[in-house]
Amino acid sequence: MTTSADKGIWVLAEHSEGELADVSLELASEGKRLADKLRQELVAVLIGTGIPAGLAGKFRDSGINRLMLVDGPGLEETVELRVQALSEMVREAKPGILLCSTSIFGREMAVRLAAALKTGLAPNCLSLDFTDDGRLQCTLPAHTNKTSAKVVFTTARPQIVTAAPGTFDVKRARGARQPLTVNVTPRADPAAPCARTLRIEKGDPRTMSVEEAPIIVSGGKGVGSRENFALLDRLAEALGGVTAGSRIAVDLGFVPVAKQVGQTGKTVTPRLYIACGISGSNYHTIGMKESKVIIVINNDKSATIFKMADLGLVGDLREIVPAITSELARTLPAPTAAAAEPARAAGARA
Amino acid sequence: MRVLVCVKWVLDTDGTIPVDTEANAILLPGLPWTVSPHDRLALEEAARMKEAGVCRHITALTLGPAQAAGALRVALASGADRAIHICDPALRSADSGATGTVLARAIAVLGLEYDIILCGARAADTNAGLAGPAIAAELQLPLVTEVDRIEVSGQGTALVRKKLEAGDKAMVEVPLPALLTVETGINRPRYLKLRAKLLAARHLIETHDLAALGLTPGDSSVAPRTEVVAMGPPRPRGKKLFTPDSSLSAAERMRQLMSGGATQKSTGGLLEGDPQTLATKCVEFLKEKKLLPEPPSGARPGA
Repeated sequence: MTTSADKGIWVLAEHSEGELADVSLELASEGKRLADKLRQELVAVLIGTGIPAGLAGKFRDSGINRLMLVDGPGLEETVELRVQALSEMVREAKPGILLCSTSIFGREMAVRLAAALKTGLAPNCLSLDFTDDGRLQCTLPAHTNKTSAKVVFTTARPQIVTAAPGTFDVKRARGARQPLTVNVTPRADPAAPCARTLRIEKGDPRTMSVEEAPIIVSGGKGVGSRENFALLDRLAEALGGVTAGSRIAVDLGFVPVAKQVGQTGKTVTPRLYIACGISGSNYHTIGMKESKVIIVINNDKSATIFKMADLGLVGDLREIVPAITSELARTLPAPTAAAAEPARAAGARA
Repeated sequence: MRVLVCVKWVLDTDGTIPVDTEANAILLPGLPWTVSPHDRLALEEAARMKEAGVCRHITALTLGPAQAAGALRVALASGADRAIHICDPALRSADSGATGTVLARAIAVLGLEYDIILCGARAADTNAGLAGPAIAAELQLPLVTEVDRIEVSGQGTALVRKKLEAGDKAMVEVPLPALLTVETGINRPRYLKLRAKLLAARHLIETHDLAALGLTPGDSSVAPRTEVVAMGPPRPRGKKLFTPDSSLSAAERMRQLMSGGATQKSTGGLLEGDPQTLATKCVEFLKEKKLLPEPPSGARPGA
């Protein structure tokens, strides 16, 4: 079904702050499906500096056969070194397919690898299939999503594909075992001329979109009025986050449509999601359930959304939200908490 | 300093794009074409550099069929001094990778001079963003992708700003010559005045075919690496629908379905009481989860 030159399917896994990005397991699940069809090996690659040892365990149920850890100085900060190291590995092992995500890290690696390896790129795929001769057929949005295109690769390998987080489901692979972990010594020349990251400027919550915000305070119908929504704005500001809303909150004019979270709005995965006055209908939760930590404030103890809460507060949000805001003001030493937001690992990916 | 801008002529995606679902192809006749929006940003950035006195010469370069000269007319109207069109029937199926390789070849063979090459971060039609990096790889230039601010410092380096995750930006120093791909937010392209367009319409466009670049249609660098086998109407991005884990009991699966995939989390607690106590507990929880903002101190870079 496939040409003998193609050896395996590779997944470029991502990690930050010592945690594996969810998209890595999504890509692994899709990779597993493709690998089963081709009867080929499925390999995950983790690249960086000081990769936490615990990450390997996350691949236990994914169907990954081999996990390659590429750990070395400079790999975390310098994209050129990562590309050098990975392209060397690809040239040697000749995988047929390389799956990456469309995150800033993933898509930059994908285009640079495609350029370095003189192969093609199928960006932002919606679904993957095989042609009769065993090549990938990728369905992807084209013309700014005014059309869709089916793209196949000619003879260039690997077939580099990117997919947005959430495109594929994480499935537990049948009979999967802990993948064999292989440490790879990166072959990259740090002396190569390249761009140098001088500093990282923290994002400003006031201008950030809900999709990129690390902290979201979200309101629903239960907020009641635009005046009450200002309480959420103040809490968001104190936490260094942004406000968002459910569809009803948008319909009632509490928040602009650009900040709508849910089925007909944005899908968000912040580190903290505070849901205020939101009952938790499927249409809303579908857009936020992948959030890392969820705090729910609602006066209805039986609201569905409490089921996904890491912390649930039952009561009137008009009292609880300002209480939290003033409690934060007391706890935080400096009065202006607007600028900073929690330190992330200095994984300056540029 | 000289700036070279690579531009692409694409279908205008502001309107709808009709697709013949029988033939799996776009119904092209009558559709408007335009410069890819990100390339337009690159042209505007070059024009602003010229106005600021940083840059003294702008070259615009495109690859495409005869009508792609339209992109160069726009480039000339927005301030380009020289316009070069790579046009060859053998390039009809060129994808982003092949385009990048051929453009790099053109830059080298035609001896085009540059300190900065600007490309759009991605084209409106293919969305790949590969042409720029491919040029950089061929010419062995330093590359910074998705840049939304450019400052030329004078000592043979440029200071550029690049978007990172979570709204963060990296300030990157890049030695020149370099290739930068520009992202939205870098500028707002100006309205092109009729006078500029009329002058651009009379300007010389240099057209070169593959032979002029020392290439033949059979060369590997010309060969497309991907090909589009069918076009269709837009497909909505599938929002991830919840599918319950089949290893769970039927009752548990029902519960999961009804709550949209929400399951009881082990860390959670449902707290009731007076607002002040709840607020204190909530802040303690945030502290424990390390979700509180750090005090703004001067010690941390970029804070």
